[in-house]
Amino acid sequence: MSDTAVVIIAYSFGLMLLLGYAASLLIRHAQALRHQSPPPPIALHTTPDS
Amino acid sequence: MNRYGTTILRAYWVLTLSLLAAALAMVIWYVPDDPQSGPILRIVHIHLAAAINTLIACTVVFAANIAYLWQRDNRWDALGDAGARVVVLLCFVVLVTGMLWAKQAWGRWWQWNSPLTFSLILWLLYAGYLLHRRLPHPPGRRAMRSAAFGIVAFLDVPLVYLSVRMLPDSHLSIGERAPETVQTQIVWLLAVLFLSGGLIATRYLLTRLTSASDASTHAQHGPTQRPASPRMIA
Repeated sequence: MSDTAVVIIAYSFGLMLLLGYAASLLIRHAQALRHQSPPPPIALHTTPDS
Repeated sequence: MNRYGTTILRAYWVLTLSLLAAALAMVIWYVPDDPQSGPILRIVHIHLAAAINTLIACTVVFAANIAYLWQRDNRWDALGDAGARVVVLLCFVVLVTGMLWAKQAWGRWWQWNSPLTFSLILWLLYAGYLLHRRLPHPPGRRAMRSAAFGIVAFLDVPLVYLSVRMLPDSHLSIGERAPETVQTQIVWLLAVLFLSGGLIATRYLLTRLTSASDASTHAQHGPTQRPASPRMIA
C-alpha cells in the first residue's frame, strides 16, 4: 500500500472515531435537553355554559 | 442547562470543528513531504496530538478521582467517567495510527518496546476502568472503587512519558523538522485539545442532565412506575 493511502486511512480513522463520538454525544445531549424542558401549556377550552 | 449555556456549547463546537478543518487543510496542502521518510510522516500530526491529549485527559481523570475521594461529590465521579472515555478513544487513535506508521516504516505492525507496551497497558487500564464502572456494586461503592482504580491506573502515565523520552527512536515523533511541520503540529495540538475538552464537557453535562432527570422522575413516580428516561431513549 502506498504511503499516501496509509496517511488517508490514518486520518479518516482517527477523525471519524472522534467526530462520531462527538456527534453521538451532541445528539444525546439535545435529546436530554428536550426531555427536560417543560411541555407547552395546554389551552383550556371553556364554554359559557360550563 | 439554560439557553445561554447551550449557545456557548454550540459556539465552542463550531470553533473546534473550524480548528480541526484548518489542521486537516494544513496537513493536506501546507506541510512538505519529509525528505527522508516521504509522505508517511504526515501521520505524526494526529498521532502526537492524540498522544499528548491522552496524557492530559488521564490527568483530568486523576484529578477528578482525587477530588471525589476528598469530597465524595458525584460531580467529580461524572467528570472522571467523562475523562476516561476520552482517554480510551484518544489512546486507541494513538495505537492505530502508530501501528499504521510502523507497518510502513519498520515493515511490521508492532514491536514490544517500552513506549508501545506502556501505551497499550494505558489503554487496557482505562478500558478496564470503564468496564469496572459497569459492574454491579453495592450502593454508593461504585464511585469510590472507580476513583481508587483510576488513581492506580494513572501510575502508568509517567511510565509512558518517560519511556517515550528515553527511547526517542522507537516511536513516531517530529524531531528536527521544517517550520511548516512544527506550525501544523501546534494547530493539531490545539484542535485535538479543544476536541477532547469538548468531548469531556459534553459527556459530563449529559451525565448531569440524565441523572437530574432520573432523580426527578424517581421523585414523581416512585421507583416502580418510572417512565422512559433520556438514557433509555439514547
